[in-house]
Amino acid sequence: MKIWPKLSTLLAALLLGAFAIGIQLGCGGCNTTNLDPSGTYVTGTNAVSVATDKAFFQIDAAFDLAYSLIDGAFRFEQQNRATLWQISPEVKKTLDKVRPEAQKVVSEYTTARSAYLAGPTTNGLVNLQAYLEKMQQLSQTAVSTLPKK
Amino acid sequence: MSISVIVQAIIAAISAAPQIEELVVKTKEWVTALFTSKVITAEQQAALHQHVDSVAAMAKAGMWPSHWTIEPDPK
Repeated sequence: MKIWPKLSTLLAALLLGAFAIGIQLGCGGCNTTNLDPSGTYVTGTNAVSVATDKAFFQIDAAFDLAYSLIDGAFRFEQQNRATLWQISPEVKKTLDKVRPEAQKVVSEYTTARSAYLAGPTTNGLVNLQAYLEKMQQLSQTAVSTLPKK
Repeated sequence: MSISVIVQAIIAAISAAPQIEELVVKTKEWVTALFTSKVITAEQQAALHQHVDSVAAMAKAGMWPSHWTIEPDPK
């Protein structure tokens, strides 16, 4: 069936993305990775130094990957809907439950992110991380819903 | 086997099939940066920031792509 090579590729990409998200917050690899201080993720500058905002960068990167995983799963289901419906209607039905939830969490993250950008605080980071965790849960649900070969 | 070797093996596997290009390329760039560089460059930071900004703009406008919306079931 033609869908399987594409699905295998998507699942490999999703697996890699999920793996990357997993290591980001545990952050085995990025403890030794730093941000270029001339970049976007800075909390402030003074005459002597620039303070990079690694925590915000990690949360934003993990959110972006979770978003991409969900987006990939939604897109794949839409592009292969007829075939997937024949395999199992539950794929679309489950993703149709995730879709409005994902919209809600993206909107909540967006609001919290705007507030953090306007005034970075520790509480702001905590809020962002809470929405990130919801997004990761939804991404896991979306990915696990896709059929395995 | 180290984590970086595992990741490189996955990258090699998915690089052979270009179908899901955007997601694969973005994920590959990120993981490669994470494991092979000591510094996330200003360009990489800007790319991430701009992409999340674009998602935020879409969410604020309520302009969701069709695959994010509930469509009728197939007959």
